[in-house]
Amino acid sequence: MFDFATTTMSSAMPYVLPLMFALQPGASSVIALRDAAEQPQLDRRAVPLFEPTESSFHNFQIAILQPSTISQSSAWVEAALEKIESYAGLPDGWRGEGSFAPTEQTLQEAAELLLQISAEMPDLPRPLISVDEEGFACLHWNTPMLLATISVYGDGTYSFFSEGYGVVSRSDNELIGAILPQSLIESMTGQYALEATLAA
Amino acid sequence: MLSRRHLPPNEVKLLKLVWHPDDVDDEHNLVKPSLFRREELTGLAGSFVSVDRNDIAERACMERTALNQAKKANGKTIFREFAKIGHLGCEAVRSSEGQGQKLFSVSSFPEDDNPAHCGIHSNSVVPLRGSAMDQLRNELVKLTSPPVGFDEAYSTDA
Repeated sequence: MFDFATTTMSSAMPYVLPLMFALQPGASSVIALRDAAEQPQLDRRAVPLFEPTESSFHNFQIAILQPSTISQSSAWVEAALEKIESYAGLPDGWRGEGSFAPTEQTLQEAAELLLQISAEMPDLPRPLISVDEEGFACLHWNTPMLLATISVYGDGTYSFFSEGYGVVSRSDNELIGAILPQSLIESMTGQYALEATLAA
Repeated sequence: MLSRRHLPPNEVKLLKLVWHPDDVDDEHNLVKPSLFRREELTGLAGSFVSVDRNDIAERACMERTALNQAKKANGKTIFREFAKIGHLGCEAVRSSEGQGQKLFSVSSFPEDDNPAHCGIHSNSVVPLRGSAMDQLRNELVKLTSPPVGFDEAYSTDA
């Protein structure tokens, strides 16, 4: 049977995952655990190809914007990463009294998640990207078929609420770098529902 | 307990001031979740999203608020280049549901210099965060019209 998720990720993994792991030391064990515990039906255990190294957001973007990488994911990735980077270096108070600037860690994690989403769901439209007064990053989709908000907190976690294709999906404390929740993919693409229909 | 006079009628539109360019997507002119501050939606007493009812809102007051907000942003005055207004239907906000519960209520908070001032409250009885907050912001984004400039907003409402 055609496995959308495995197919799309396998084509992007050689490019995306080494860079993601380079930015998140120790992430490999987390991914393996979540994969086994939550989505055993998908054999997508990630194996880091590089040893973890330190990297700045700037280097991360330069690395990720190589043409061969862009071709593996959505057309909007480059512009979206540039938008995220545009928030770097802002001072506290940039949105008014009491507002916080995003940390480099928050922006880096937002970029990681964005890349993962674009690799796994390449047909998604461009997300709206913002940083709120608390300094958290938001990835947002607002189309006739999909309304989704993902909040990235800069502590290695994100939350989301997504409504699309007849599916409502929500979760807290999801880990940056781990496999995307199946329910999130389903609500954003309708893919698993389509597979189930075809299988039946 | 609020009396009925503190509840704006369902028929009014609620004007949400959009004073920061980053809260609007340039390409599609859609508001982003960041327009709605988390601390305004926690459900805690005294927290609410500030809006103005369109039937009695004065343009001069809205412009003054926008200017004051922009001035607080590191001394930069954004108002002259930006500042827009989005509309939310009062009834639509009150009717919005999640898990079978009404998500929001709307009350009037008239001020001396702004009798049109209202607040959108989260109906949650526990402080919200994470995906619950994402849901509320999703709903409010969905209910907010594409923002327009002051001239267009007031010519339409006149």
